[in-house]
Amino acid sequence: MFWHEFVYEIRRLLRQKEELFWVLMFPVILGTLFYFAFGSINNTTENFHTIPVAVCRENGADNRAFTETLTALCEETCPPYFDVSETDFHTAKKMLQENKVRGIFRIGEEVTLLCASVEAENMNSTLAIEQSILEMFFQDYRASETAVTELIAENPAFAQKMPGLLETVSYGSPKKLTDGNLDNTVQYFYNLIAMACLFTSFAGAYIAMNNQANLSALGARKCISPCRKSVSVAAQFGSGILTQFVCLAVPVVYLVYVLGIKFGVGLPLLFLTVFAGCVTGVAFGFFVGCIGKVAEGTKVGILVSSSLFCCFLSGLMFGNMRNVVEKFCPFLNVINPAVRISDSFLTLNIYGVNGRYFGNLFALFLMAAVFLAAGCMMIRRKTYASI
Amino acid sequence: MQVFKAFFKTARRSLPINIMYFIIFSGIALFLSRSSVDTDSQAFASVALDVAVIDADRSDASAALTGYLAGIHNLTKLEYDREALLDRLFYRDIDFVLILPKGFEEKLSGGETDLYETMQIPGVYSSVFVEGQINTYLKAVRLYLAGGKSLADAQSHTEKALNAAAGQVRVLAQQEDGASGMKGIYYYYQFLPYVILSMILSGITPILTTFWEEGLAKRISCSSLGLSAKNLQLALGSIVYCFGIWALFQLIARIFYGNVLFRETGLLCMANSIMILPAAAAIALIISCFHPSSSMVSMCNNVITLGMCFLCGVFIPQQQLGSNVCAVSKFLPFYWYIRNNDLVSGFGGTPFAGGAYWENIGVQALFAAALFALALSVSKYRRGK
Repeated sequence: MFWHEFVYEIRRLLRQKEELFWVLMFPVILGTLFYFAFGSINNTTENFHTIPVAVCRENGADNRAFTETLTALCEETCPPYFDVSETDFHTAKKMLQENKVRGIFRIGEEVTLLCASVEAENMNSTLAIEQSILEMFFQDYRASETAVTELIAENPAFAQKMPGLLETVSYGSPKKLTDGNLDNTVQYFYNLIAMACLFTSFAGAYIAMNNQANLSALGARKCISPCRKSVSVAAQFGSGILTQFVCLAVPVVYLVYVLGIKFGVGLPLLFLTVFAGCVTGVAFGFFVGCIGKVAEGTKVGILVSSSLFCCFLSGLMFGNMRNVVEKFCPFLNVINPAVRISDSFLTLNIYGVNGRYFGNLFALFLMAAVFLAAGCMMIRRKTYASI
Repeated sequence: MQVFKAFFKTARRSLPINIMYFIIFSGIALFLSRSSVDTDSQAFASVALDVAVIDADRSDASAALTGYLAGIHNLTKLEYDREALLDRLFYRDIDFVLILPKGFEEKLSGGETDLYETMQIPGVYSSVFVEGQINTYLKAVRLYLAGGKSLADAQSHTEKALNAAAGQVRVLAQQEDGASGMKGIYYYYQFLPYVILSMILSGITPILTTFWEEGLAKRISCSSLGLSAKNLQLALGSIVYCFGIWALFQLIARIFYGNVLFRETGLLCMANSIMILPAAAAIALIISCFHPSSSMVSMCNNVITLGMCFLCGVFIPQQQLGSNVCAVSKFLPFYWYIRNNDLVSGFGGTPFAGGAYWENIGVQALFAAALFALALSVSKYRRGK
């Protein structure tokens, strides 16, 4: 009887186009949108690009030390720090207003730096940090100039030692962080898969509703069949997980191979995480489906909004949300299945398989067990009066 | 006004779910609007990044360096925990980690060049900026040390020299006063299309679908009520519903942001937000023509709202979207809504121009008209079937 129910539930689920849409098509559509929306965002806003600057010389003034320092940063660094346009002040000012350069170095008796007001750009923090880098370079030059002037005044022989000390070098060494993908936009894809996993809850809800005589005709039919409810629910639950997992594997493969999203880990571990997410999703849906005599539409609404809310808290719409929650209410992150799923992907990406990854999987299976047990408690030994 | 009354009787059925949507969505919109204000309030002269320092040396030299950085950035002193630091770097919760190893002071005094370690996202602006500042500081200290100063003197001279150089950057134009208090409102209106479209699609579509149901449609058409009167009452019901939702969100904005909302720029944002309504109502009408089930409504709602919001710059600023994405999103009404919001707030970097604002309003009106025309054609086609 178990296998009979198992096979028939698979057939039923595969015919439910609306349920399949959420796990099969929705992640593909949203993933494609994410891909186009986030495709170049880090390259535009975060990755360092050569900063365009204008240099104006008042009445042909020259400042050798400054010019040499600027040239060194333009020619000896990769990528070059600055892209210098030498022009007159009027043109440079116009270029600054039109955002074609980020600042103007004006060489006269002394060197000055002119920037546009950042408040006018507000959200464009890339511009702000580019101007800050210009300010840093300017500070470097002015501080060195001050130091050299002071020291030579104290001891003229210092001029002999100076050149080597004025070179711009790095006194630090970066630690190797990981072989994984440090592009933080990949977290949107983690959360997208987490959302798709939670959307498997629709299948779980229908399993619950199709086992209750007061909620569906199929439930009434099943209640008078000789098959034990525990066997029927177990078979449907198993087939629900299998079907949803297979369906969800398609968008995962699409993200990895068609869109080329770098998850930093191979498919088998991705699938294992998705499987744990599916189990939790179906169990959550089963739990909601078992709640009293609530209309199907309302249950679907509860599932959609609670899934989206969990994913919002996990960072689907606002990348840093998970850390905000961690600061103010860390317990929410512990019990939020979307966070557990996305954290599993993050762990695999950055650290590989470790205790934290297995901890996440354990938390997901534990949540699934709690939802399943609570659901079963609600529908067990239910009898219906003959009316 | 039988149909008009029936419209709201039907609306009552989906009231609980709409209240739930309202609470969740308005919470999200408010949160996003408030949190974004915190993250984007940097000014160029003092871009303060989040820097973590692990000071294993605990010497005067390391304290002076961290003190200098603390004057510029948001500095947090942490213990070395690779996993926790890496997590925070990945989420950009911190931008840079400076590790001052034991013996930092001796190495600095001894003229060595390998002085510190870092944890940083390679090749990004924040890493270049903070590392550059540290190197600038150390370079000046080394100059003073080479000039015969003691370490303490070298560090104090360096700080003086750097502080003297700081703030000498001249600014071309100053921003007008009064706009900073409006930032929260701009962000609120930035995220409003997502909330309003979601609520209209999940609210009106099921009601209109009920009226398209074959049995009910036939029952109404054989009554004494004419088709145009029925459609007029449905339209009136939809208008009242849409304006009700819009008014609710204006009320929330008034409660949270006070009278600032009624300044000129606030009123421009409000006027712009009205233009969400006709487009959203037309989309709801188109969907309802296909007699969708409740889950189908949820599907369409999510795909359309999330899709449009991601592509048009509701969740991500338009300036950060790729040019190809913008080329596509120009064919969506929210693109023009966000353009107007950027124009009023100055987020887009272009000064406000009344002509451009009304032009964008006009484009939104044309989109609404086009969508309504499409909705009427689809409805006629479906009825013909």
